Amino acid sequence: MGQLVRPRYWMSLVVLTVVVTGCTGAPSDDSAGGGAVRVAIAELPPAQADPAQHLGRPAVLIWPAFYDGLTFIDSAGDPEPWLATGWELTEPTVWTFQLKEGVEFSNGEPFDAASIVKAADEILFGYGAEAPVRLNLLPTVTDVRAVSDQVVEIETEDPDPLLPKRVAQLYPLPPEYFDEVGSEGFAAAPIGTGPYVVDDWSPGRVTMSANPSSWRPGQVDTLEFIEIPESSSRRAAITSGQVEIAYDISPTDVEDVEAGGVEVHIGTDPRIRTIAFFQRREGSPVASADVRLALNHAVNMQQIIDTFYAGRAPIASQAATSNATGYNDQLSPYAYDPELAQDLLADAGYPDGFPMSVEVVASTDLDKSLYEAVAQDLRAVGVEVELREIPFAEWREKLYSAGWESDAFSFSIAFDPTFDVSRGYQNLGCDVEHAFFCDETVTDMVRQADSMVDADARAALLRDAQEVAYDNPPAIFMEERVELIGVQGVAGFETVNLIAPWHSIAVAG
Amino acid sequence: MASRLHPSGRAPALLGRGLPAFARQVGALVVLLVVTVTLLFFTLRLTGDPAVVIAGEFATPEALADIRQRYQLDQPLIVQYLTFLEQSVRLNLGSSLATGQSALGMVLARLPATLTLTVAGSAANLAIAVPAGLWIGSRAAKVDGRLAALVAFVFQGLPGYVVALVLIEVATVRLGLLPSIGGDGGLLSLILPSLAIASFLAPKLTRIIAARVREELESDYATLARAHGAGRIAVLIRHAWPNALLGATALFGVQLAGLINGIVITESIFAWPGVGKLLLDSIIVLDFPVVQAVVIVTTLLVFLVNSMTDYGLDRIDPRT
Repeated sequence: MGQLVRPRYWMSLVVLTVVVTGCTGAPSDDSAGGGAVRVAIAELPPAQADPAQHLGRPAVLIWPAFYDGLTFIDSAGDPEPWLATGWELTEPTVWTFQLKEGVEFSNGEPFDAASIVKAADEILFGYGAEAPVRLNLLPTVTDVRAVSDQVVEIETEDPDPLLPKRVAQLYPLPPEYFDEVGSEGFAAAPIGTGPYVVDDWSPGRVTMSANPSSWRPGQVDTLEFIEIPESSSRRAAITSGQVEIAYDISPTDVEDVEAGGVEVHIGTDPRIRTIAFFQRREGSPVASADVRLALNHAVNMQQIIDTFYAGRAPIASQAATSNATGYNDQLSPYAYDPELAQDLLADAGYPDGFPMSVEVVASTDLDKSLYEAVAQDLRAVGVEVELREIPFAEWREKLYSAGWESDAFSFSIAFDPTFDVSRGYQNLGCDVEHAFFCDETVTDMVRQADSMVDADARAALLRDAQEVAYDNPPAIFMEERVELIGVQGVAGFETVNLIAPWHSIAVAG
Repeated sequence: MASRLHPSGRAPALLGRGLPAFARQVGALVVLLVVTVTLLFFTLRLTGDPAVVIAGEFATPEALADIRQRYQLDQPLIVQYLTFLEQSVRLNLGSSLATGQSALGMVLARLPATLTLTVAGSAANLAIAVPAGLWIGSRAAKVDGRLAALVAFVFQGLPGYVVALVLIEVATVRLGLLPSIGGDGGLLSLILPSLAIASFLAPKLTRIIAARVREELESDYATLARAHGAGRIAVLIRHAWPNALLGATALFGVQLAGLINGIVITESIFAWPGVGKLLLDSIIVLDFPVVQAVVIVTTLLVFLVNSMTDYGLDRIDPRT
């Protein structure tokens, strides 16, 4: 036998391994309790901190640590003063905002009307003209102008009673810095007026330090957000003390997490989970209002919530979260009554039930369990449900094109940032491009409400619309979503509509 | 001039056979890339319209049309394809539809993390499989050897993510010994994900090494060596292991190439900020340029690993 072993080959492999693994950086300073708070979240915003790109999750979990909007939506769904100290409707289509004085961006540039105008020029009329914030949040704004350093006017195409809520996610830009780095540079290294400054935005991790010059300065030295996609890994991270805050704890993990000494905070997630009906599908039994009512009465939602949420989530009774303007608190969740459900099905001409296809996106085991539990209840009254799991991308395209190949589909309806019943009808109404559901009466009422500036009268009309919709449900209403957040070693943590006021958070003890 | 026949019957390796072999390898790489990106390009376009995803839930038809025009999604597919090929040749893989950032830049920013984990996992694989395979192969006739072979067989059937979750539960949650979050604990944070990777690679490599070692130990030359007074360990190290190395290296190369593509779940469980997570996110939002950039970069890497494996085999094969 000759010299078969080539030691240099294997040695080079070992050396390569050592060199590469040695390049992973220094060990962490592991400074829990020493002025650092680490937060585990399932996903970082893909477009980093680009203020034109994101609405809702995951941006609202992180951005309030360094950005401020003109208003802040409180737990009742109403706008509170934030960077704007007051606002009024000065003309039917013009809102005038008075800005807070003495506020600076973290780079020293002053916050004033020019920074709001700059935000509008870039986010609404400039590079972000076709991005989600413009298209989805502020589509009606036609002009933003500075009246003085501390007063700004925002003009809309038509009267927009929701504008003070909408500007909660319009973030001012420091003009000089933005011009220097451009939109892409700004997204990676944002500058805001909030309590923390972004030091580093790497894949999977955002590191911030306290901004002492903020009007609401941060209390811990370092705030770090770590992307941990897997639910079980987030549970491990919080129970082992690798992070102090962990978002999106699975309801099935709550007992384990609490047993480990971690407090579980229940935050309101401004969404409701539904199985929405594709009413316009030709020949589908769900075209009948009786059938849709029957399906709501056939599901024992209380038992499902008790089983999978340990009773921690409210049952949805209508297309609105309970803090949305126009929510009708006189409407109770549909009573679980399988006999009534069968009677309604018989009245609609389906005494023996019918086959029903449902396309669902099940990102988690919880999602799968919930949809399967609903399907089982429906099967018990003779509706043979076939659940078809589809990828999220396919779901989105079908939603926007009404391209469903089924009688119903999973749909979590979001109500932020306007917290208004009309938000739901942007999807559920007749005016939607490629609408999948249409109730002319309800849509007309919502349409009327959207042109009213008298807040009380508007809310009353929306409540009436919800009452009408109750007898003609567009969906099987499941639960108002909740966010379960593990917290340990941290004082002052709370959330308002998922948003944590990061300036109030401190290391406990 | 006729090309030299490789004595082993394999294709000549990239680095060891001169310019003609190098040119052939480069040609093969170009063909591989063109075929891969072509299939990918057309397959991705069957998955949906990214304009509706970019525009969001309340986009007007005008906004959708604008987006399609801006990203040239309104062009005939063949025009889009030719533009894509032309730009790819210039190493311009486009911008992310979701973020506007350079697709290639996004991939390259995450590549070091993926490579680090790949190499560390492979090192753990070798560290477990080589001694285990030698030991099991040398004790094939004994009860303990058979028992260990059975354990390797059982482990080969265990899903990697199950082992990963068990490792986290024991080493992180119960014992508090090691971090389960990637990227912040330096070398320590590499240990658990590397072991998780090794858990699904090492059993197979162990069994291959064991089988080859057993074959070699039962061969005539091993018997002869022993008859000449060589000890059991000496026969194992000097004779059986070098010959077992050939099959093990081939499998190791295949595993390494597969790992570059298959590391997604490990990255996800250990919050490792690599290319796998980027690929998953990009597929969900139909971010074609990023998906294409990930596939092109990983194709190049797999090709490189395969070439290096061929080179390694050339170096250790006695017939070369």
